[in-house]
Amino acid sequence: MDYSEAIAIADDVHWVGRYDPGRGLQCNAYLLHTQAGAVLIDPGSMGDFPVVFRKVLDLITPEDLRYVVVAHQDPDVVGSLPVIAEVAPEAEVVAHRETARLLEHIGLRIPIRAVPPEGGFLPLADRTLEFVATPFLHSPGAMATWDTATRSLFTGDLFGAVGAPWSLFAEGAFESQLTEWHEVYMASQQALVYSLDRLMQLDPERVCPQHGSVLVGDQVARANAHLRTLRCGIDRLVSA
Amino acid sequence: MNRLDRRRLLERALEAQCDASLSRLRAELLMETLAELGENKRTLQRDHDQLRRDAETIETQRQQLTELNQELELFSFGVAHDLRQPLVGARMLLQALPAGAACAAVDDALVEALDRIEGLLCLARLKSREFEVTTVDLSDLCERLVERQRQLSPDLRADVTIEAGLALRTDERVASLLFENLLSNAFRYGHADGKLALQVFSRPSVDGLVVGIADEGPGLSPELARRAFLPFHRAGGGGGGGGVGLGLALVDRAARRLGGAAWYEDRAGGGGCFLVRLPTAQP
Repeated sequence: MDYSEAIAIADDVHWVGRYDPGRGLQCNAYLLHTQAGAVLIDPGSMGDFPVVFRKVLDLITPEDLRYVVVAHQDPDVVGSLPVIAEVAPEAEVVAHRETARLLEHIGLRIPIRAVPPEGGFLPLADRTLEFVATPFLHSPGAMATWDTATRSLFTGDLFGAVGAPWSLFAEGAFESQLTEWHEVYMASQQALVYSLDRLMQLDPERVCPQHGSVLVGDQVARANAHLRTLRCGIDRLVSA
Repeated sequence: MNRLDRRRLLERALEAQCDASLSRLRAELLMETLAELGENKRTLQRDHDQLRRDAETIETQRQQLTELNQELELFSFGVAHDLRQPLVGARMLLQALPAGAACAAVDDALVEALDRIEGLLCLARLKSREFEVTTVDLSDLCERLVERQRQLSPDLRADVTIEAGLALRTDERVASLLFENLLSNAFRYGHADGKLALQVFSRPSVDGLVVGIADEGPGLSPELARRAFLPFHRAGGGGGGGGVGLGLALVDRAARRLGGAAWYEDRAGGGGCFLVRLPTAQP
């Protein structure tokens, strides 16, 4: 698999992320092509921008980019937003209300559409994106994006993984890399179970996290079962 | 002081003079820059003050518009309510006249006016209705509503498939109003060549259901899709199909009243698809 190029992962969905063998945390960005324009999900850091946007421009023109959906406000997710706002002035950022509140401090020149905590929808002519809040995984305003057309769930940091080796599609026993990431970055087991219960109602065919690997088919159920058992974040604090 | 010393002294004086001139120049530049910055700061402050005043004005206007909107809704409810009775009376009087084309045309116009009034009253009532939450069999509800639509459109060859087992805890009367209008819209506008192929299906959604009604009709242009749920915008663009342009506005209002949303998608392979997301009502 040639990670230097955009890779189709479903109908009208491309991985446009950056694979850097020199770092343990890979950043996945995804591009959806719809009849109402293109949607870039989790564009990545400033350092990722040249690679991510070169792949985006291999598929669309900047004017075609209508929405940039961000799962939360961390620099590895939104670092490149100011530059994207300059080169794609037609685009609109979509973020959970609590994330939008923080993104306003970047001073973007493009509008930010705030998704209310109870969730929201973005009809795109031939498909609809549904946004589902995943509070405290790991940000208070984290959210997942559900693509009804391909049954793909874009989860940001949730279902993320860290470490080597890395492959775009999860292989073998991937659970340990999930553990390493979630134990540190997720707020608590309670927060995990709350959102997993809700997201699994969607019965996703694939899960596309911002870090780690894409999970397909029964890997989704395996990851769900594994994550529910993890004690993470504040669960791991031990008083002296 | 010999000649060499005088020369060195002169050179030092010259250097000192140059340094002093440069310092003066730097100071002048600095002062100019500071003055510009000060002016810019004052301009920014003025802009900021103006923006704050604008924001306050907009907020005041928003509040006034909200109040005006509430008054208008009450007014339209009152007008609709008061108009219904004389129109019903006019229809009854019309029946006493000898039948003819003119009478039929007047009756059609009265029926359309009464339909509009009923729609406006429904819109107004939706806001004030209290919920009665039960487990609603949406499949059965849609079956019954489709049967009613079949009776209203006997010439239409309707092939309708309804997903079995659709059920949700919600308010049955509001849900019924919602699906009645969605299905009525499909029967009016979703057919092609006298044939209607309709599918009622569900998609999973977090803590609720997304229900779609897909047809193989002409679908909506992006412009119509954008305005389809506004009052008095006909999904068929005003041509054919009848209707008074309130059905989808009622769908939108009912979906929001139930805590959900309504929207339109193009159907894969041609046709249109109206979708509603309905959350499960909390006990």
